[in-house]
Amino acid sequence: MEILKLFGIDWKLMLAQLVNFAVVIAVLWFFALKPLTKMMRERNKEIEKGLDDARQAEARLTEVEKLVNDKIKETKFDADIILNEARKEAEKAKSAAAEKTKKEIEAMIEKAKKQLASEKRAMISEVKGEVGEMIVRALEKILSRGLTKEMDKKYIDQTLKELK
Amino acid sequence: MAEQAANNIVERTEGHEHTLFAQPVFNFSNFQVTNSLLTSWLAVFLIIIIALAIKLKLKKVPGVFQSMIEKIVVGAFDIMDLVTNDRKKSERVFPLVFSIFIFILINNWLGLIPGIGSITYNGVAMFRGGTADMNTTLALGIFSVLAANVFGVIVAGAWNYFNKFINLKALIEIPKKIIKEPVIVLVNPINFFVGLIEIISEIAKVASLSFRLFGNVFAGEVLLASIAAMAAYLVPLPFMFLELIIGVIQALIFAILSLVYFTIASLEHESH
Repeated sequence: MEILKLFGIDWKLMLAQLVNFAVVIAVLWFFALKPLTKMMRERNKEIEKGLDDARQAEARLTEVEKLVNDKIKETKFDADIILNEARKEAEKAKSAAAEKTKKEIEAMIEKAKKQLASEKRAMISEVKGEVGEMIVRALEKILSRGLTKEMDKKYIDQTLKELK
Repeated sequence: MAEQAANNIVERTEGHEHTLFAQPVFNFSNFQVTNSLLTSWLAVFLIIIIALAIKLKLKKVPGVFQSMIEKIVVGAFDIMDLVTNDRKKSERVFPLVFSIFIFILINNWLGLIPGIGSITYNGVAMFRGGTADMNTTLALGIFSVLAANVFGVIVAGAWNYFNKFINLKALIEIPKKIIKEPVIVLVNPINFFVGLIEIISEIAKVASLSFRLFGNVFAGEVLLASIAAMAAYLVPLPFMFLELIIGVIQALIFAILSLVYFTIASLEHESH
């Protein structure tokens, strides 16, 4: 065991160094490495979660954007339909109104025509009456004056012709 | 003969000598406190302060100090993964291996601080690199190999691990398989013998770990002292940097070899 003496090996010193090393392990592990690795792990988890959340938020955003776009398209389509219908309705209403007016005008014209005709008839009959009277009066006058035969005849003919 | 050998290696520089063994500074009843032990205590003290600083300054959003420490820890994990190929296994042995690295590194570097060897007490240098003492390196080596074996027992089971050294399984197998494969009569006794050699290899591991570290650090200190004795200015500087690097490399080698022993101990019987 000369070699042990040569290197000054002493079990007490070795034990002391082992104790030193044990203290180092304990201190490093409990004060530094354990909390440090724990914190690093937690941070990694948090970063991962953050990235994941961001990714989810982005996906959700595009989804919502798509939804909004779809809604807008749909609304546009609906609006077009409604507008078209309104236009058609308006057209219909317009044409219906025009038709009605036309009919009314026609009815009025008809009425006016009828009135005119009845007035004409009345006038004619009135005129006829008056003419008759005038003829009678004229005849009376003529007759009262007395006429030659020819003249008589001539007048009668003429009058008759006129009457017709 | 031992004293003669020790005297041959003694270097006389600047009034104090470099001996192979650490010199006792003072006695504590019948316990000799050597200068290497004092340096180790200083190292432990420094490590405690650093650990407390980490603990107190720990924040979720790291500052510069914490980022640096985290970088070192992450780097250590990456290097360990290269050896173990398994992050879970790395995490299991990380505290041990990393502590070995830090303890050796601080001890190596403390011995290098310029002028630390010239602080004397009763004519003896008060501080000598903690790892420039066989007691420290041997204690660490024995601890590392023992811990690797304990780890192996935990992972592989006591019976399996026992059979790695005293291969009773191989002997028991012979009568069972002898009809199917007669070669087993030859192979399994060899396996048994290989198991016995493993015991020697464990002792060799302790020796190689401790002597390598001790030799490098002690030689470094002798080298620095010799160079300083030749030229006090500028010339020692490159050697100083060299020793700083060696301090890191030796700590790294010790830690990684320990890790390799851990890994081997846990692998051996999984693959069979």
